[in-house]
Amino acid sequence: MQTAPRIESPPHAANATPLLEVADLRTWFQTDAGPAKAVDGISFAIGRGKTLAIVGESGCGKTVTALSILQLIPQPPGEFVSGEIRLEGRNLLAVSPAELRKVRGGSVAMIFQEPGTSLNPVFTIGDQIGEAIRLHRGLPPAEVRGEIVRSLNAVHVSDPERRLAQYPHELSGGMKQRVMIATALSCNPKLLIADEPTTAVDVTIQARILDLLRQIQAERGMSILLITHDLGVVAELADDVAVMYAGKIVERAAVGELFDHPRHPYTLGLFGSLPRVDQKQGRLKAIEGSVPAATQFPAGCRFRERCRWAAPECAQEPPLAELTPGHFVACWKAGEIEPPVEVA
Amino acid sequence: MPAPVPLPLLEVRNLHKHFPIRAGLFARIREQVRAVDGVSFSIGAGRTLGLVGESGCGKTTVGRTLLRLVPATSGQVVFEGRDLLAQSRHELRLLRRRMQIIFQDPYGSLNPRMTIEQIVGEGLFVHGLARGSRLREEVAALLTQVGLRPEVMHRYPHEFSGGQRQRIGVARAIALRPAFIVCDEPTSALDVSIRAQIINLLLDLQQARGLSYLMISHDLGVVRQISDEVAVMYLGKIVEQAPTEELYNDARHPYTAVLLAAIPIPNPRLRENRRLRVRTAVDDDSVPSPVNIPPGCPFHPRCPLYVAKGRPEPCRTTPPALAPLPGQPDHLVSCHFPNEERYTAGQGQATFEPEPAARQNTA
Ligand SMILES: Nc1ncnc2c1ncn2[C@@H]1O[C@H](COP(=O)(O)OP(=O)(O)OP(=O)(O)O)[C@@H](O)[C@H]1O
Ligand SMILES: Nc1ncnc2c1ncn2[C@@H]1O[C@H](COP(=O)(O)OP(=O)(O)O)[C@@H](O)[C@H]1O
Ligand code: SF4
Ligand code: SF4
Ligand SMILES: [Mg+2]
Ligand SMILES: [Mg+2]
Repeated sequence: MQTAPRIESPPHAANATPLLEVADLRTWFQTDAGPAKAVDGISFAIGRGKTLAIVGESGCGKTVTALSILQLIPQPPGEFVSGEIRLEGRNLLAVSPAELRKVRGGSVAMIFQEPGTSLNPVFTIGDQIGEAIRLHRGLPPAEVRGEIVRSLNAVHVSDPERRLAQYPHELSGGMKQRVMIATALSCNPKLLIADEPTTAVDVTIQARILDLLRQIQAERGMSILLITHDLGVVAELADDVAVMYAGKIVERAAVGELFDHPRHPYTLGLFGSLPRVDQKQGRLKAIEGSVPAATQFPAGCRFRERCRWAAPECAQEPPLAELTPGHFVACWKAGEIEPPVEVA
Repeated sequence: MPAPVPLPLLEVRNLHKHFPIRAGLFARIREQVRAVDGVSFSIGAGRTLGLVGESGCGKTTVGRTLLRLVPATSGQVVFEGRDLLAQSRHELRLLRRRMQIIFQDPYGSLNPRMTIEQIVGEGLFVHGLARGSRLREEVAALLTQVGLRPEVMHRYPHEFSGGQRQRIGVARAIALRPAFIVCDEPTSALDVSIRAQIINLLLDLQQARGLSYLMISHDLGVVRQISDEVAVMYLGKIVEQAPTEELYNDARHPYTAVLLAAIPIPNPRLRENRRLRVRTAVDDDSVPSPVNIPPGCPFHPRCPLYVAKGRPEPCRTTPPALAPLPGQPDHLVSCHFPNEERYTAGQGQATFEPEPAARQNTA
């Protein structure tokens, strides 16, 4: 059972307030080499039941963005230099620690890249999911077991009664990933943050997990913040896309628009770098160079050193401007650049 | 461009690699991990064979066994006319110059205590091919070829990014002017743009030097760009092999179809078709263990065609042979029903049963 494609829908219907709004978020780290501006003034919103994908190479600030929402950033060295993170209108950067604990694993849940690291090896599967349910839902012990089985059923774990007693090492990678998702979903979160949820698994398992996320989202109307570097995964799941480079969002649009009319040179570079299974390309249009360290972002346009359209005006930082309705690009040349790559 | 069929540079015949493992408390009772279970292929000069399959299917073991980095259980590896597995240590040392390997992990595969000059120049030094300033010149030229500045030779691996370390690994592999390189997942630890840079580098070097590659990868997108031919492995065996475009356009083994259909296509408009994605027949997508390989066709517990055809008996009892399709001598398939279904990469849909009727655990 799956949802119809939603690629044509507008990013945010005018009447609904978004579930999550992030405004001008800056998360920096103090280091010996000066401030690491891992996240440096980003804004985005996620509508109810919608999926926003954040894409970019490693080191662009995707994980720090995700961890900032749950405030899982150690302070120091981390510091929220500016911004607001509003969940249903409430600024999470201003709530009490007790309230924040309720949010984590309650209305906002997170799944990570490595299933192994977030499951505790000395507890059974049943204990781990049970713990999450007890903590956040306060169910009487007699009902917890049934709830655990229901959670495992929801992620299509075969034979859930038997799995309850198993330890993480007894499960395959795909099963571990499912159990992790079951744990995250057991408290009916309104927002699921998934940081590279399929990067470490085989494509066959990835396909299943993407199906699963899609199905559960359709059933529960949950919002997803999906972090990935794989444009294929974005195309499968996202309603809206934010492309991140060096701590900034450089392009933002609805998924259909972004794939039809990518405008930022970095976005074009990501598409050109992609070895596609459905086409023979031979040599790829790689972006030269690599992401600079977060302590050494250049002044002006941060992509300048790798950009083949760079011009003198790029010494000034380009604003994230609306090029066409709902399509934002931070590039002085965005209006002039015609996509040199065929992407869809 | 149909070139004249080149002579095979490398020929692997019926290669087996079984790892004995102790089972339970009784150390004497031994089971075998059949990591490589009868693999044959050949690679021509200047050509690339892609080897794909899920984690644990035996790809790395094929690469390591054919280089004799681990001893084979049985089989033949004929390289430039000589049986590698029968060579003495001394002869092997000379042959090793002609065959190299690039590893997946650009972090673990470079000795942190050696300078880049020592790492890249080690082979030249050990084989007595260059010393002193000649060696430095050679290393400088190699670094330039892989897109690094020669000055970096005095630095240590930790000072480099993953992509740069992979370039150093490539420079080390080509230093002895090999004819053949096993590339074991050379790009899977790398970021999108760096991955593209390394693919381009490998393609350029192949052009310039006439290298042959065995390209091991689970990334079917990478393999399509770089390979002339592709072999699909499942539980220690090749289940389908064909010229690259043939395999991606007309896959015949249900396992190949499952793999191809699982890959997300970067086109949001194909999402609708995804409802018809080929699925394996069971929920837990893990590959069965190579200790207990299922009887009959090893893929049958997961095979969607087996389910769609009403679980025919031969699939459970008789292992299908890897045989050419009628009239297509270079397209090999190991399935009892190779003409039943065809699959093209990127369609986002397939003709198998869209969803197995019941979620039964056949395993
Ligand atoms: N030294 C060893 N002793 C016992 N079993 C081994 C050994 N080396 C490999 N194996 C087993 O052989 C099988 C094939 O392993 P191999 O590393 O070749 O897989 P692979 O296809 O390269 O997988 P991946 O995609 O994860 O790299 C696996 O089941 C593995 O656990
Ligand atoms: N604790 C920290 N101290 C200093 N720098 C950090 C810290 N955590 C992350 N960074 C830096 O912030 C940048 C973004 O990191 P991250 O969000 O993990 O990237 P991504 O998830 O996009 O790969 C990187 O340059 C990283 O080195
Ligand atoms: S602003 Fe200039 S340097 Fe930056 S992406 Fe646009 S053209 Fe390139
Ligand atoms: S032989 Fe039978 S089980 Fe094996 S791949 Fe073919 S149809 Fe599937
Ligand atoms: Mg990350
Ligand atoms: Mg391997």
